[in-house]
Order: sequence, then C-alpha cells, then structure tokens
Amino acid sequence: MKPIIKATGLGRWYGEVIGLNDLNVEILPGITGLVGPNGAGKSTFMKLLVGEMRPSSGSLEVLGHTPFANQELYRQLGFCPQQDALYDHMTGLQFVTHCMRLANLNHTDAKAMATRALQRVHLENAMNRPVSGYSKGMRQRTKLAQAFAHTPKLIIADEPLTGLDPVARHQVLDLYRELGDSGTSLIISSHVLHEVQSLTPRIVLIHRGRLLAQGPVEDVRQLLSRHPRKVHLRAREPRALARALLELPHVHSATLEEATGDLHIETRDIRAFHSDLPALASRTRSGIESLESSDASLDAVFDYLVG
Amino acid sequence: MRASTHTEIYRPFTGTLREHPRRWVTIGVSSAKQGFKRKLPALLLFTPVAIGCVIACFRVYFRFQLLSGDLVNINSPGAAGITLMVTETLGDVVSNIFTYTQGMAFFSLMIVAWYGAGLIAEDRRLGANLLYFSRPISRLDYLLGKGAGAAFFGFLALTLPCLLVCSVATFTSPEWSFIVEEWASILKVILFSSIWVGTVTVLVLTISSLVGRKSHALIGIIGAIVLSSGVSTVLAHLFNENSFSLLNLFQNFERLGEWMFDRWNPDRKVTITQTAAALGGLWTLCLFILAVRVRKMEVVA
Repeated sequence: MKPIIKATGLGRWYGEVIGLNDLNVEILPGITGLVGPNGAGKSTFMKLLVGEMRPSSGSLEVLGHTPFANQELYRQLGFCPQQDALYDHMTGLQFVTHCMRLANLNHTDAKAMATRALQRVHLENAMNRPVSGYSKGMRQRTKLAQAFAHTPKLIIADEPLTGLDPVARHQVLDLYRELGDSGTSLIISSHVLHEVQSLTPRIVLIHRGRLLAQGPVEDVRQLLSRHPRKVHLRAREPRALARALLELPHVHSATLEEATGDLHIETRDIRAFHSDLPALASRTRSGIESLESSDASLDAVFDYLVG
Repeated sequence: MRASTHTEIYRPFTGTLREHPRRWVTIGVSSAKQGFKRKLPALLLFTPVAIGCVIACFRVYFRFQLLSGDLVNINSPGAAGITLMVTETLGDVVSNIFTYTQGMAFFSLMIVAWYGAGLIAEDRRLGANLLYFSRPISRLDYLLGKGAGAAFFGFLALTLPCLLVCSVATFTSPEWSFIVEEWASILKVILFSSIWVGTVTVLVLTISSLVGRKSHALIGIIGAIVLSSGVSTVLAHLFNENSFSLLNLFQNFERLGEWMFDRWNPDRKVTITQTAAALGGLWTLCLFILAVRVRKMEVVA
C-alpha cells in the first residue's frame, strides 16, 4: 500500500528551539493516532503536514505533494487545529460556509455542505446562533465540521476530543470511524490514549521532536523487550501453575499473592506464553478462572517509551 | 444535545462543484460584514464624515444655484457683486473636495484603524490563520482580502463622500458643465482618495500584523501617527529644516493633494518628488513587514 505521508529527515526549528528533529516516518491510508507528551512536536508535525510551515530540513510528501503553498493539496485536506480559531461574530453555519467558500466553492454549494456537516456533528439546532454563545464542545464540533465538510481525502485533527463531554466524544469517535470506513484517511493527535486506541491500533509516537515508535500498538509493545509483558492470572491451583510456568524459557518471573491467590507473571514473549498456557493449565489441572494482560495498552506503551 | 444511536451514515458530496476563483473577495466581504455587526462605533465614527459630506454637498449645490440665478436675480442692483463674493467664499467644486479630504483625513484614518486593527491581530490570537492557510488560499489572497475589508470602510469615509459631492456638482451645474469640463477632477478625486485609503490600510494592517490584539493595534496606530507627527514638527522647528515634515503622513497627503488638484503652494520647500519618495518608502516598508509577518504567522500561532 502506498503511504499517504512520507517524511524523510524532517526537521523544524523555531530559532534555537527544536520542534522536530530528523523525523523519518511513513503513514499508510486509514486512521492513525499521533501521540506524544506535551511539546513532543505533534502540532509542529501537523502544521508541516497541512503546509502552514516549511520544514527547516528534510522532505515531506502528503498525498504525493509537497505541502507548503500547494493549493492542489489543500483541496484534498481538512484541518481541525488545536486553537479555537472561530470568529465569535459569525454563526456556526456562517463560519463553516465561510471556510467552504475559502475552499473554492460557490455560496450555494458551500452552504449546502456546511449545513450537512453541522447536522452530522449534531449542531443543527444551534447552527444559526452566534459562535460566541457556543460551549467549548460546540465550538470543537464546529471546527470539526469545517474540517470534513468538503469531503477531503485526508483529515488532520489536532486534539479534536478536547472539551467534549462523554456523549459528544462518543459521537465524534463514531464520526471518525464512519469517515475512516468511507475511505477518508485521518491523522488524529490526542492525549486521551485509550480513545485513540479504540479508534485505531496504528500509532505514531513522537517524543522530543523524534519518532519513538510507529505501527500497531501490539507490535510496538512486542518490540519493548526490556519490559516483559505482565499477565495476571487467577486459578484454583496457583502454586502448581506458577511452578510449571517458571520452567518455560520465556517466563521471566512469577509472583503469588498469598492473600488473594492472584498470580502475576512476567514474560518476554506473550505469543509463546498464550500458546503454551492451555496445555500447561491442563497438565497441572490448575483451573484458570481469569486471565488479564494489563500492560498491552497504548497507555502502557506510552509510559514505557516516554517514561 | 440529543443522544443518538449512532446509526447515521456519512454521505460524501457527489455534486459538481463550481469554482470561485477570487477567494480574496470572500475574505474581504467577510471582514466588511464583521464591521457592520456593531452599530455604535459605526455611528460615532461616521457622524463627522456624514456632517462634512453634507456641508460640502450643500456648498457645491448653493454655489451652482447662485451662479444659475435661481436664488438671486443677478440683474438686480448689487446682486451680481454679492453673488460673486458668496460664490468665491463657497469655492469651486474641487476646492470643496480638497477641503473635505483634508478635513476628513484624520477621521478616515480612525475608521480604517477601527475596522482594520483587529483583522490580522485577532486572527493570530484565535489561530484562525491556521484554517485559512490549510485551504487553497495564498498569503497574497489573505492579505488582499484583509486589505479589501479595511479599505472598504476607508472608501465609505473618503471616496464615497467625494463622489457624492461630484454627483451633486454634476446634477446642479448648468448644462452639466461640471462633468463636461471638469471630468478629470472626478478621476483625480478617485485616485487621490484611493492613495490615501490604500496607504492608511497598509499602515493599519502592518501594525495589526505586529501585535496580538486589536486594542494593542489601535494603540500602535495612534501612537505611530502621533509620534511621527510630533517628531517631525519638533525636528523641523529645532533644525529649521522643512524636510523633516516628510515624516508627517498628514502633511505628505496635504502636499500630494495640493499637487494633484493644482493648488501647489510655491513657497513650499519640500518638493512633490520628495513627498512621493516618502510615501513610497512607507509603502515599501509596510509591505515588507507584512510579507514577513504573514509568512511567519503560523509560527507564533
């Protein structure tokens, strides 16, 4: 599959401050989560992707185009910035229509597309009210509407879930899934890691301006050999099970909690562990009641990598 | 917000899109519309302009009425002399327009400043430029649009009233003499007011691009005008050197107006070439700053 974004040695400095440094990344079509701590360079990367800035070094291709001042590319892009970016004196409909007009559409088409997009983010009842009276969540959804109203090929959203209540988050995540299913590629940056993971397994993790990890979360976790995978087991015969597990070469440690009978296993190869466990449980007649892997999530990967 | 079952399906737009090539017009119209939202500042700022325009129109109307003999019987004893004296006092159309433009220069500056000060500054504060520049909008489109928005109000304050005076002159002059004999004056009026509005607009946008809030931009504009006028006056007095008056925007335009409307004062020590060079320098400096600031806008957003 051809990547939609290809960065080679990408760098961006703000005077002496490094925003991005020698970033090499390829992003495939579909939904990708862009994660990293504050100041990691996510917003800089997004601004470079949408052509707001020129790279200080390296090269960047988005949908086969060089982004800066490339109007052909901008017709295929939708951008939802982190900043508020709304004009308070306009209504939601006027604002999104204005954005569509800037995307080269005539007034009739622009208004029709804006109306449809605002309905899609459930702002149909508020779209004729001035933006100044909107809540944070409504403002966020208005920004989102202008990003996808013109049916772009690629949507780049910087912290799009900030300020949304749980119902609105759910609706927005559903919208992203639908957009993804309809063939639109999305790059979403967020601090709400479990929500990113619920949307896509594919992540790009940036830290201090550098690429730290890229790919499906499970694969990235598998590569972190310094941090054995933790598995929590509850069984009728935990001691026998622990003794048998310690004989496996990939099992690093086994800890039994006397009070609860819980067994905490650390393994360097989770796939081999899952493969070996059923036979072992059967042989020792240990009667496994529950099994849970606690550090395979994006949160855990993030913690291990960023520290 | 209503809860939903999340069963809606996203429907991509499938129609045919017609292109609208002049995107800066969209930005200009949006900026102008924004200005009309608040009525009180418009009322306060445009009242002196309206009064000045009405006075100028009345003087022109009254002059032509006197000359046509509709108001006073010129054949009556002494009437011709009085008529001549009054019409001389009222002045011809061009001198009325010239007086109006000089009188309204400050107000038109304030109007453009009020409506233009926030156009770039507030965009940067809100981060709205991020939305502009991720669309098929060039930096030039953006600047032209913002400039058109601010200049529109300058046009309302200066060019439109001048054209109204010309219209009154056209319709009241006997045998359409004004438009037949002095049509060039109308072009000069448009050109002169356009130069003034354009200069003020560029200055206002430049200061707006340097700060992050409308209020700061307004302070900056007033400060720049007061400071340049004050410094030029003080230096001119201290060194007895008239060329320092080139720093004064209003005096430059007074000289330009005198030259364009054939009212040049031969005692002036500053030439029209020097005046044009000063204005050209101001334009160049402002456009350079604007180009740099707009190019780097997203870095500070």
